[in-house]
Amino acid sequence: MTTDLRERLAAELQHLDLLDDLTPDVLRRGRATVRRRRSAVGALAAAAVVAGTVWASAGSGDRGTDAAEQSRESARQEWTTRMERVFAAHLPDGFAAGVTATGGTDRRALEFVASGPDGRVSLNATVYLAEGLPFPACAATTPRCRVLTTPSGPATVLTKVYPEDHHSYASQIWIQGDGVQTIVNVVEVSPGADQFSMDDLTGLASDQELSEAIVFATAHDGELLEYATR
Amino acid sequence: MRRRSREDAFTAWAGDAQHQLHRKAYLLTGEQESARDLVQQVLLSTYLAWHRVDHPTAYATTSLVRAFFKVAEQRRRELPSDVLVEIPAPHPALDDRLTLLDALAELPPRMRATLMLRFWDDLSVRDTAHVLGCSEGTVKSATSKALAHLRDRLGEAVTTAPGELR
Repeated sequence: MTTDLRERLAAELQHLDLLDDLTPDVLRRGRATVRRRRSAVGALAAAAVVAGTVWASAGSGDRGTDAAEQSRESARQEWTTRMERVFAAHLPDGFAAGVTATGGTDRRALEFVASGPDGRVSLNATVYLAEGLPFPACAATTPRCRVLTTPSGPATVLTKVYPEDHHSYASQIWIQGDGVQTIVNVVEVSPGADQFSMDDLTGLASDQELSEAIVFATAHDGELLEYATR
Repeated sequence: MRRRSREDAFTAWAGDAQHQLHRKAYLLTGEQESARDLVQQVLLSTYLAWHRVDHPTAYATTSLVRAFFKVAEQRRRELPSDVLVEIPAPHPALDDRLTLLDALAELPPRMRATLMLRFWDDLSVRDTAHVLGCSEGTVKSATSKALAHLRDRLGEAVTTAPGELR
């Protein structure tokens, strides 16, 4: 006897009581939230004017939106600069100096590309707040998996995340802070190449500047959403 | 005028989407009230993000799954995602009464979400991994374990696509 998963779920869900229309209540609460946010940003703008900050727009109706946008851009630039510095400092020997930012548009997380002797490598980091991701653990420290302590908390470095040879060589650094989890991905663009050693990765994981960048992202969670945080 | 346009577009979308979201939420939580709370929360976050969302249904589904994980975490009543609860073999007399929803509810949150996204929402492995924020390998592994659990509990093979037996 076989069960078609979707068909059987659909049949069992038929007994589920239909919801009353939630839209009117959501609209009411949504309007209230928007009003609260506008008033908070307005207060921030007023405080900045008192402090002598020049705001980009003179239109009073757009002032709050412009302030939020300016703040978001500023946070993104700061994160980009910090991570550029962190990644560039841990490139293996033989790599061209520096990394180039790619991506980082709306709803696309910031990524960097580094150029090594065996091809390009993609690098990125995302800070997860209160997500409770299942933290990987090494059954034993091996050349492919290492546990270490970083300034942000315990970390696990995994290499060859995709075991199949036709996939690009990918490594991950998982850092577990207090309610803050950070995942750094180091992925070879071309299958076959393997340019970051375990020592390169643990050096990156242990960098004090990376830890400071994580603190920065945590403090600017909203502004960096989908760019550096989730 | 701008607000009116946002509200009209949101209302038109939400009217259809909320019932489908409710089914997804129920598949995740297994509870009517929790599912309703989740849908309400997700509709609100979609409304607030409306001007920057291109695909509201995809955004709402992702928000739903993440909100569910947060709730599960807060309640602290679930085991880590990779660990299946050790469940004794069902008594033959009870077997007939076991529904697929019951068996689904026994799974850890991330496995439930994986099955919901893959086989109710028909997302690819890649898209499921994107929503869950994990690797494709993790999705495949969770799917395999979850289907094995359902098969064991139901005592039947489970098909997930035409001609595919698990």
